[in-house]
Order: sequence, then C-alpha cells, then structure tokens
Amino acid sequence: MRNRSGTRKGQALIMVTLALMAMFGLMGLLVDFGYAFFLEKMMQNAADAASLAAVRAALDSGTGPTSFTCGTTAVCAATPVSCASATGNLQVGCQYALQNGFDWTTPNTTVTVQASDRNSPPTVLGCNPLTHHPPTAPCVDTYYWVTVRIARNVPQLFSAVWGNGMGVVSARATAAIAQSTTLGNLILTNRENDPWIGATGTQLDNTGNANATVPGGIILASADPVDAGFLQGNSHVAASYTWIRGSGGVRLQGSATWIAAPQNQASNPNIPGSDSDPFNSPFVDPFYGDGQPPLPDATTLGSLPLVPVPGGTLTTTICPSGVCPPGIYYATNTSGLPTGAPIGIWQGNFQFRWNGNFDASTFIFFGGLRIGQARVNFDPGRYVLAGVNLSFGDLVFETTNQSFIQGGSTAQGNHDAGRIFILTDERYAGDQLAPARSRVPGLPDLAFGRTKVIAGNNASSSITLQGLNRLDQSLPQSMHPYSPVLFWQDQRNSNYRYDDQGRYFCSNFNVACPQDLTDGRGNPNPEFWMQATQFLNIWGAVYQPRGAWMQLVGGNLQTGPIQVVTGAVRLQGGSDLSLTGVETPIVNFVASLVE
Amino acid sequence: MRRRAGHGQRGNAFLEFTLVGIPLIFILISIFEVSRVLWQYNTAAHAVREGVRYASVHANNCAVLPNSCTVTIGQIAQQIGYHGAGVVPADLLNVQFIWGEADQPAAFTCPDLQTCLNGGGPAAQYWPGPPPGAAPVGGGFFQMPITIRAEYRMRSVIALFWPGSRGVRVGNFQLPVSSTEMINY
Repeated sequence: MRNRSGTRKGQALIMVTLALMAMFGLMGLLVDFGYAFFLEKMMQNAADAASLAAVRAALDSGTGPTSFTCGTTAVCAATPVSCASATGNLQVGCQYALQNGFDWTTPNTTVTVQASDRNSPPTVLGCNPLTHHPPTAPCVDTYYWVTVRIARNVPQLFSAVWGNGMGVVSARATAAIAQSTTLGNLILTNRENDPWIGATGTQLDNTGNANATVPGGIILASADPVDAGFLQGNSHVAASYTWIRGSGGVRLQGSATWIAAPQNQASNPNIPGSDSDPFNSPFVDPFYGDGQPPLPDATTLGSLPLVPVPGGTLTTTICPSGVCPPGIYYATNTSGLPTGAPIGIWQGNFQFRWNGNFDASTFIFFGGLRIGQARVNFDPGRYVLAGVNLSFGDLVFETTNQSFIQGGSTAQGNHDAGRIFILTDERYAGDQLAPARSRVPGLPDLAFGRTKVIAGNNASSSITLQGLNRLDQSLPQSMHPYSPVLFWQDQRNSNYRYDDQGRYFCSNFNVACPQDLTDGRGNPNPEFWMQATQFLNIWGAVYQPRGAWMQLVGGNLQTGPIQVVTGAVRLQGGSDLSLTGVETPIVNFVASLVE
Repeated sequence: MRRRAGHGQRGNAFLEFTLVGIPLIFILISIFEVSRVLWQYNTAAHAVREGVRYASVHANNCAVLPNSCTVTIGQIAQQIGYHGAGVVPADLLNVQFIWGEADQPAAFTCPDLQTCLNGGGPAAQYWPGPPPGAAPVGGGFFQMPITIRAEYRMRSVIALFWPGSRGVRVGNFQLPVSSTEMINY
C-alpha cells in the first residue's frame, strides 16, 4: 500500500502542469489572439481614417482634382516615414491615427505614411489599360495617394508559456484621389421650378411615338410629383433603372410604357443623394464644382496664328490643300475688318490638323461654325465656337443633312485623344478668351448661340465624332475631368445660374435661379437641337448645364455610346434614342479608400 | 469500526463524485463549447466583414477604364477564407452577396464558401462592380451599401444532449453572420 501510495505522489503535479500548459495555450488563443483581433480592427479603422483624411486635406486645398504634383498642398514621401516627421496634409492624416488611439511616440507603436503623385516613384505605371497606381492597390488609376501603416508590438499574456512572448499586429490602408463614376447615362438636372420650352417640372418629354432606350440608367432631378417624366402616344422608355429625386413621378398616356418602373428617392432608401453633399449626389450636375474645360494659357493663345476668313467662307486659299492649322479664325469684310459672321464651310474637303499636342491644337472660331455640303475632318483638339453676331443668325454651330463630318472613331478601344467642341460666347469662363480676342481689334460683341446638329440619311452624309478620351496619353491631365465630353455648352448659356467654380449659384437648389442679365448677354436660348439618323455616330458625352435643354427630332434610330447631361429633353417625331454608354463615362474625382 | 468507516467513506466519495462531478464536467464542457461557439462566430463574422470591406474598395469605380480592379465572387471568397482562421469553408453556408442592406435579395449566392473557393457556383461572377469597362448593372455605386450574409454551421458535441436529439450524431445549428459596408470605391 505504501508503495502504491508513493508512486502516486507527484503525478498530480505533472498532470496539472501539463494541463495548465494546454489551458494556458487555449487561454492564449482566446485572450491574446482575441486582443490581437480587436486591436487589428481598431488599427484598420485608424489607418482608414488617417489615409482618407490625408488625401481629403490635399483635395480640399488643391486647385483641382487632377492638378496634384508633389509639393506643399500634396506632400509626398517616396518611402514610409514616421508620423513624427510628417508635414502638411500627411500630418493631418497622422492626427486621425492619434485620435483613434495610435500614438507613434509611445514605445512599441509605429505609424508611418507614404505618399506620391501620379508620376513620381513609387507610383507604378502598369496594368492593361495602363494605370498610375500605388504599389499596394494595383490597377487603380490615381492622381495622388497616401498609404498609412500602423503596427504595434503586443506583449503576450498566456501565449508566452509557449515561447511566444511578443506579437506584432499591423494594418494598412491606402486612399487616393481617383475617378468615381457618375450615375446614369441620361442625366437630366432641371428641378421642378426650372423653366424651359416644355412644361416646368417636366424633364423627359416624349410627345410623339419616340422610344428611349438607356441601359445605363436615367436620372431625373425634378421632384415634380406628377410630370417629371411625361410619355404620350405610343412612346416607350426602357432603362435599367430610373431614379427620380424626392417624390417625383411620371405620367403615362395612351399605350406608353416605362420599364423598369421609375423609383422615387423618397421611397427607396438605397437611392443616395442629398443637396448637402452635391459632389456626390446623382441629382446634381455631375460637373458640379469642376469649373469649365480650361483653354490653353495666355502664352499659347497669344501665339496661335490669326486666320482672317474673307467673307466668312473657308477656302483652300486659307487652308492650303484643305489642311487648316490651329488658329484664331474670324470672318472679315472686304475691308479686312472682322464682322463676327460665322465661318462657313460650304463645299470641298477640309481637315483641321492636329499640331503635335493637345494645347497647341486649339481652334477658335469667333462667330461660330457652319458646315454645308462639305467633307470636314476634325483632328483631336479643342474647338472653341466663340459666340455669334446675331445679325447673321443665332446658330453657333450647325451641320446640315449634306455634311460629311469625321473625327476619331466610335469603335471601342480604337479612340484617339479626342476633341471637344466648346459652345460659348466671346467671354468664356473667366474671360479666358481675352488673350485671343484682344488680337482681333474691331471684333463686334458676340452672343451665345444655339447648336443644331443634323445628320444626313446615307453614309456620305454622315457624322462620326469622338469625344475626349482620358485613356490616351496625349490628353493633358487638366482635361481628364471632362472626358468623354464631345460637346460642352457654356454654363452661362442657360436659364439657370452657375458661379465661376461651376457650382449652383443659389444655395437653395430647388428654386429657379435665373442668370444675371446685367452683363449684356441678353436672354439666352440655350437649346441643343439634334436631328438624328442612324448616320449620326457619336462616342462621348453631350453636356449642357442645368437650365438648358435638348430637342431630339427625326424618325430614325439614334444609337451609340453616348452619355447625355442636360436640363431636360424633348423627344418628338418618332425619334428613337438609344444611349448604349461609353466605356470611359463621365467621372467625378473623389478622395476614396482604394485598398 | 475502521472497516465500516473506510467502507462508508468510499461510498460517499463515489456518491459525491456522481452528484457533483458529472454536472461539473457537463458545465465545464459547456463552458468550452460555448466559448468555442463564440470564437467561431466571431471569427466567421470577422471573415465576412473583411470580405465585404475588400469588396467595398473594388466596386463600380474599379470598372471605369483605365481602372481594372473589380473582383469576382471567387476572389472575395478567398479573402473570407484567408481571414477566417478556424472557420471551415464547407460549413459557411448560403453565402449571399447583396447590393444594398441585408434585407435586400441576394444578387449571388454560394451554397457554401468551399464551392466558391473551388471556382464553382457564382465564383466567376463580378461583384459588386461589373467587369472592367462594362456598365454597372445592379448596384455597387459609390457610397451605397453592400452586404455579405452567411450562416455558419456549428457542429456541437454537446448538442447530443439537447432534448429531442436523435441517435448518436453530432448536433448542428446555424449561426447567421452578416456585414454591411458602404462602397468606398
């Protein structure tokens, strides 16, 4: 008995020791790993907040979303640096990490920031199509990015029994200024109180047997409870979605249909949008706050050749062999004085020639441009249609059904840098045209004009035009926010008033906010008239500001990769409209997490 | 007396162990089991949260050329699996990928995570954004919600003792896990 008792002594100690090690292991799993999970979540939140804050600070202090180069407003750090030495917007980000509980001055905690602009290392140029992306977020095209890394050495409580005395918990987040797609392929920005040729409050006015097919969705900003959209007769709308602001409604008469059924924002919590956040609301002009597409600087404008056009008719005398260089075109009378008449291309073959880079390929037409039975090729570049002398009519841009117009390609993946037609007057966007206008002494005052695009009904009377393409490396960064615009109507040529930064002038977005007519511009007629046929081939966006409108007429199908932004649309005469969407649609530039 | 007393003590110990030990062991096992359930639940919830966060930075904006960073259900499943240490992929059932809040219908559903990890089910489908260059179809827009919802099948030995359990088999019950995030990019 004694012997047996003696052999039992110490067994319990061994068993308990072994059991304790196992239990400590389990408790380590529970406590140490549990704490690590908890810490990792906190770190991820802190890193997210810090990186986003740093980019947001840069975005808010910059002059434009795509104007960032490493400097004072957007601080860069090619390699990760401690928050202790961070400055500017990076310091702002670090403060967010601190406020979320990660103090880099305490032992065992490190908080580092790394940042770069679009073209400086370590930004990577890679992927297909090419993107300028952070090393940690492949294939995201960025203009400025910040990566925040947080790490902490955590002493282990129970896992130390197994020799794991210290654990490392870390998190990483990258935020960037990058493009954010806008909602909708047909974006109508008028509100219920904005007047136009149709009934106030109505935005999509389908008066005939016209059909509108919009796979990319329709956005109606009018909260008119009955008539935000109005279909009559045998007209039909087909869209993947139609979102109407507030409690707006649509009215269907006859056998009209609207599929899928429009949804009210007021009754669908998943439809975003608030006037307090106009940069992210689908019911506000997608170019809100972006300003207008810039012209080249004064030096470039000052060096553009002057091209007087006697009688206003373009000939091969002015454009040898039909090749017209970039320049400032204006009609003159027999005395050589500028008349403000439109530049007419009535017959023959002409090409407006690319001049090596986009800014140098700027064509300014004082008095507007009208094309008759001629073949015209528009190379990539800016085409500024700078106002009309009303004594010669009110069209600033016009094509006829006998015109043959080409410029770029509408086939996917086959686009050049693109072209933009800026429909304006002689005082474009902060009077950017002054350096050009001052070189044409005697030019009469020019006003806003209407636009009328008419396509013919056979291949030799057709229009093929491609808008700006930000995938093309020769499109300057300053123009990226305006890709894929083909036609840009001046925001001042509207019944609704914008400020100089492209924001709505009146703080209450729901009121009618008329233009200030005291500057002598007169009462504008901001109409865009498009007589479409199947031979109107457009790739890109047609932009008109809120308060302007578009009329689509004709009896044939107009289909193509088109995005339309305007105040309101009237479809008539059995014109069918099919907007199939552009592979590089209109985007906003936002500060956003990308990893 | 000694013998009687000795014999009596032995019986007492057996009786005491029966009365105290068995419930004690049962309670101990229950504590371990509940802890394990909570651990698994938290891990599954963490994994799903990491999955939805990953998806939230690879949504519609990733499809706008030249961006090409949209992801497939299979890639999101890999993220869930990677962050779910201890979670058995075959037991994460009915993994639903939802445009909107959790009360919306699912756009895609993996019968279980393992299926999508193996490339089956909707693994090849792009979500929440479309393929690069394509137009968005159902959701995934900036600052709109997306949700991943699933049920984790717990296999509990202790459920053998539950009233109504039949036969000698491990009891199953399912823990719902769900995470919603606003689209970041």
